[in-house]
Amino acid sequence: MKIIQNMYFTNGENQRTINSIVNFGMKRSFNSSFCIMEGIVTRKLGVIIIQVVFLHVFLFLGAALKEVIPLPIPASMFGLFLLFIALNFKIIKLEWVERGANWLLAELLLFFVPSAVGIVNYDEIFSVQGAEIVGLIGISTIIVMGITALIAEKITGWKRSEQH
Amino acid sequence: MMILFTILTFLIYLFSKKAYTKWSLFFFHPLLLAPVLLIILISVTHVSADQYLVDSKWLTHLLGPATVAFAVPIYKNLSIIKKYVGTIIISITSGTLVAIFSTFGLSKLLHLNTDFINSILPRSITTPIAIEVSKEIGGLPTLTTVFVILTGIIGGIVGPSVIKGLSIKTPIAKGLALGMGAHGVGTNKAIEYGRQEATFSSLAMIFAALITLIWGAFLIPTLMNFNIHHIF
Repeated sequence: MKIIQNMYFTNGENQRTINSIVNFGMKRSFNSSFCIMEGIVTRKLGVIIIQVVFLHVFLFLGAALKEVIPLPIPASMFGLFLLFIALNFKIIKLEWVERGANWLLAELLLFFVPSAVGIVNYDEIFSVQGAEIVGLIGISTIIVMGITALIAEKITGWKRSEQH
Repeated sequence: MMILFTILTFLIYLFSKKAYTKWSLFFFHPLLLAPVLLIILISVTHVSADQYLVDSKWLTHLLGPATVAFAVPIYKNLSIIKKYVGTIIISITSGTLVAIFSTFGLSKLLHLNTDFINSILPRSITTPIAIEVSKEIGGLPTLTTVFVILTGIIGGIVGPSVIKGLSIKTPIAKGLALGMGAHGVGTNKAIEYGRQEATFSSLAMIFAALITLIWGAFLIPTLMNFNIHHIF
């Protein structure tokens, strides 16, 4: 039980979890430690699923808030603000959402994959104009990243020289 | 059928992610390899792209809670935000303006039609918010999604070269550039640089989205009415 507590109630890294599982397993026979490991994996997945479902509460609250406040801001952005406020005022604990949120953010690219497949619906993208648009995005992105990086680097430099 | 494509997408994504982590070649990028494999798969099995999109809508739906989830890194990094709020706001305000003006100028040079221009202007911000901005200024949300994804893929590839080429040293500059230029995909890339870069990148992404919402309401409508042909 202590191991499970260690897993869920601290913000420890995965390595620590693995270490505790390994240490625990050494004291038990192979069979039982395997069952426990399997149990832990299932519970870990369960925690993520429950927390992702819980995050939807804020998405729905955000959608409700959007109905009240007529600004061109998506419901998910309102949800972000509401969750932030709830965390900040200790209405909910970080542990209630942290694992689910970390998973969603770590696998963010997965949620873009279907839309990327949807590109096949736009024949223009594969035409000559498509190549031009890719070029446009490439050039513009290089300029955007370059200018953003240079400005941030300059400001950080000034701040540092002020301090010394 | 519905669950099948969700699972297949997930498995192909995992494979692509593993391959990309192992070999780190740009064509193994999960947003390049996975869609290509899936496009091949659906054309071989004679499934239409629309059918696939309906079947995998649960994955796209998760972008909603994923946007909400950004509250967690913001909350955990509040002290960093307070410390660097000026740098973040100045850099990202400039970044969003450069993104809108350079995209607008280049679109006019290529003589893109108004639908395309309206859809491409919010391309450098995260999908759910880009779609809102697109709707607001009269673009086509699906087309915007395509441009946002393309920006992500291209940004993820050119980002490290920009950082290297300009010999950017500070984590804040690296992170802000990646998050500003390539939203979630950039943030994903920033994780490879380190924790600080990843934090600043997700902050850049959130601030870019917020600031672009403001530009969408005030600046872009004026820009669209302005006749640029006098300049080009």
